[in-house]
Amino acid sequence: MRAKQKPLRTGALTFVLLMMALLPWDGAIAHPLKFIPTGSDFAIWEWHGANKCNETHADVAYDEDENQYLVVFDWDLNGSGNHDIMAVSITAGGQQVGHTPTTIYAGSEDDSHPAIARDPNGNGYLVVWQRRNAVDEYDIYGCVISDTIGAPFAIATWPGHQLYPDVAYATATSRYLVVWEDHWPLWSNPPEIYGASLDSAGANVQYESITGADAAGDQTHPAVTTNGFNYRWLVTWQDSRNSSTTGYDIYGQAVSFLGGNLALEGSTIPIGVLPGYASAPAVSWGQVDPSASAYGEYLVVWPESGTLYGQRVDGQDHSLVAGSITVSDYDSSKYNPAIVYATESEAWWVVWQDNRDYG
Amino acid sequence: MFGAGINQRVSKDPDSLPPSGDQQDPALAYNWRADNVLVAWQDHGHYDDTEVGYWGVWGRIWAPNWQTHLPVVLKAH
Repeated sequence: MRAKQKPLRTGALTFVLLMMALLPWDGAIAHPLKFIPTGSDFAIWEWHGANKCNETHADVAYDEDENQYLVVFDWDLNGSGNHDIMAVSITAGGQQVGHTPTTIYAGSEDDSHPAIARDPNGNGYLVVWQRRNAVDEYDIYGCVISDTIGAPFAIATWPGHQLYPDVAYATATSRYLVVWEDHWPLWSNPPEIYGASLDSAGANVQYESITGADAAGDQTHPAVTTNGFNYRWLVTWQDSRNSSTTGYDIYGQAVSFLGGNLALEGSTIPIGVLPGYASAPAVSWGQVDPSASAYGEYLVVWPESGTLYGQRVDGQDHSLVAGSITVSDYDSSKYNPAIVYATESEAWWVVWQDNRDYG
Repeated sequence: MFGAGINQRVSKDPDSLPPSGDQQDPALAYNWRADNVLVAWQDHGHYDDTEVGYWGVWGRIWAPNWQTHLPVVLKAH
């Protein structure tokens, strides 16, 4: 759903806040969409006092059976610098379920940057994260949550760093796709995007290089979403293949699981090739106009040179739909967008990190 | 209309706590039953000075509003 990138602080502005926009799916609605909070901010989890520590890198999924959310995050409870993976359930009304976070994994390793996807077919989740191992390289691990919290298992542990995982579940095939930034076999090696597909139990893993080891430049900060109508995913990432001309851009790749095989579908898609420094994208899918096509559309959003852009991508043939969209061009730095499609209100929710000065 | 005029701040600080100092790394999920979203993020500054530098995970639930015309920008504090 979204990738994450460290903020680049600029000038004297150090107060970073979050902004959001609600976009009608096709721009045809006559009135600007408005949105309202149902209350103030609430603590999903923050230890203070004796157990104070950092809780960071949250991700969230919605459980339609229980009508509640599951928020995953990392914390360094003992201050050792080794993080654990935790979770808190939140009711649809914004209340914590239970009085303590649930431990997804708490070992001696440094586990961080979790991402979560919901499996509505099997009433479960897959949580994935990066682990700093004994030789200070990063690997990708995962854990299936169903009635119980399963044992963590390795997804990618080969030499070099595997970083920034994201995950999405395809209901049509009952499979997850996990993607990450891969610096095999050394950190100095130009990174590519790699993926693994797993079944609902986290088994029967198949691997695929999403970008190909010989792609020019660096491919980093992947985000993945699923097409809710069929057996495909769309993976997007930051790409430096055009660094001498358009700087950093956003590219994508459709991935399918058909006939029991994980495969790339079609060619790499240039989604956002604009002059500037495009960074970590987010992507989501919506069945935006089912009377026209059941395949729906994807919307990819990304920050680039102070502007937050969006690009619609056809859900069937993966062609670009119209030109790029300006989500926000307020004079500020923007990072780490996240996006989701609201089926009932037929609109895209977009949130991002923003350093505009509220004074 | 797609465009920059519909940006709005996500957060509203609770009245009983100091204002947030930083908010980063948002994530969100959609509840189709209620047609609203939970936005979650990492946040610090809500507690006293001894806690400065520590992050927590905070959130807020948002719903679309098709009738009420809110100001485009809400002042933070």
